[in-house]
Amino acid sequence: MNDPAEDLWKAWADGRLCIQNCTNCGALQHPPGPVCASCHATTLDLTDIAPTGKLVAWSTVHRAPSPTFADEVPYTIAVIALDPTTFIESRISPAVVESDLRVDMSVRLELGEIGGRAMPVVAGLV
Amino acid sequence: MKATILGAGESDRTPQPGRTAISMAVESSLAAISDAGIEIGEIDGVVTGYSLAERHLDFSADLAEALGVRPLWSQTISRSGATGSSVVVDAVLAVMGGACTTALAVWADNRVSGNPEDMTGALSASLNAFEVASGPLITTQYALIAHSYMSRTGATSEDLASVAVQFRKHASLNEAAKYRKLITIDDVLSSPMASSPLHRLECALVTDYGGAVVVTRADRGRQGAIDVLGFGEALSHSSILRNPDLFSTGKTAAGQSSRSAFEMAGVGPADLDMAQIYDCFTITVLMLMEDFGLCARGEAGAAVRDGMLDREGALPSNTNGGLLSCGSGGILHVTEAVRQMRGVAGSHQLASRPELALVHGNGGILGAQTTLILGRR
Repeated sequence: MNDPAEDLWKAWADGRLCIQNCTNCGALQHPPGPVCASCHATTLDLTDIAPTGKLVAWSTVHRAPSPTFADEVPYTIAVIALDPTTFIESRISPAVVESDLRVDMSVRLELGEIGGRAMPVVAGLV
Repeated sequence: MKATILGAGESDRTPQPGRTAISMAVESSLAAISDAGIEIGEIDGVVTGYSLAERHLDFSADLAEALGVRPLWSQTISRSGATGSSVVVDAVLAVMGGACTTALAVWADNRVSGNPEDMTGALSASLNAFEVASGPLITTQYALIAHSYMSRTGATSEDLASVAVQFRKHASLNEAAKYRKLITIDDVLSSPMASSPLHRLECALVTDYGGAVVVTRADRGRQGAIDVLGFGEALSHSSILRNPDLFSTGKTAAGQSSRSAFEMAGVGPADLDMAQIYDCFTITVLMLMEDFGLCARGEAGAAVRDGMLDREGALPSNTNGGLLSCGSGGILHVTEAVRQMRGVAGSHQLASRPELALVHGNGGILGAQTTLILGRR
């Protein structure tokens, strides 16, 4: 069995905007895992996603958890909903003005690099 | 058959060079055994939490050996912050199940003396890799939930801050609390932002700690013993991204754990006369209060501001000052409850000894929940 986390990191690094899905029940799942939490099937794959999501919540970090991020504080981290039950956690681009943010607003996702790793980030508002 | 708590003990929490987690486990165990009025040799069960600062193959084995006992049942458990309440649940299960008769339930760690490294950063690195990647603190994960709670309910930063102000007031009376100087809502809101909307004074302290209780069969209890009338545990998630409820209804698994505990005890939230609620952050207390049914969804902040949790209020809570002002370690919620109910809390003893109390531990990012209902015999 492949490591589902490694598969997703690699797909993102290869420039594919995708997320884990269950080929049995169709549910999206994140963070990825070996078993579908909706139907408990182990038939998991990756599926491409639309480059949009809904902003659920955000927080601006003022003290870095590790030296990796020390030069970047303060930065804003958000929870973004891809569908009503599938959430990702990522950065909001510094180009986005925090006072423009509203809960439930649509945001534009694109693959960016955070701490040397490719991952979807909030690049702008829709 | 139920189980009963005969006594409780705490270690000194003053950091000292070379101070070990085991030494604080021993100190609190001996204090609990003395408070229980039993001999060390009567201990035939030992359950301990884990240490973040000190490496042990099996913490409970090292404690048992230090105490010179060879228990019939022992285990070391890790349930993050809920560990302090869960060691009691496990001791109760062992006693009720007949694995042993009299068990020590202990949690100690030398998080300051034993750990010159950056504990906050190290803990944050143990989140899910897909969370760690964007650079959150543990605080950030709670802050995201707090942000969602506030936008959904209209709760304000002042509402959250009132939790820290309330528990500091309680700490001011407790000679063993780390921070005792009274603070105001303005003090909380003008303390540095940790991860918005949570300020530094809304975050738990990091201190050394040790706490222990002696649990035995109810038929070995006596007048003044504290019966474990009910308990419940529940686990909803490890990663907050896997639990949509946190960002929709704001419900956590504490609803389930407290319902289980109340049902087993045959009581409800209105019957309580004290609570010790895991307070790693201000938001934690508000959400747990609503899960317990102490107030309606979104109304916990107003209830705290109205004095519900004050030592003179409807439900005196975190009477030692809690994790926010007294010290680390969810085991202190247990030992404080027992001491208040036994009337031995000293300078911060409540005027009226509580008869029915809720103790609650929360672990991870609002994922692991443990509720105890304690009653004075």
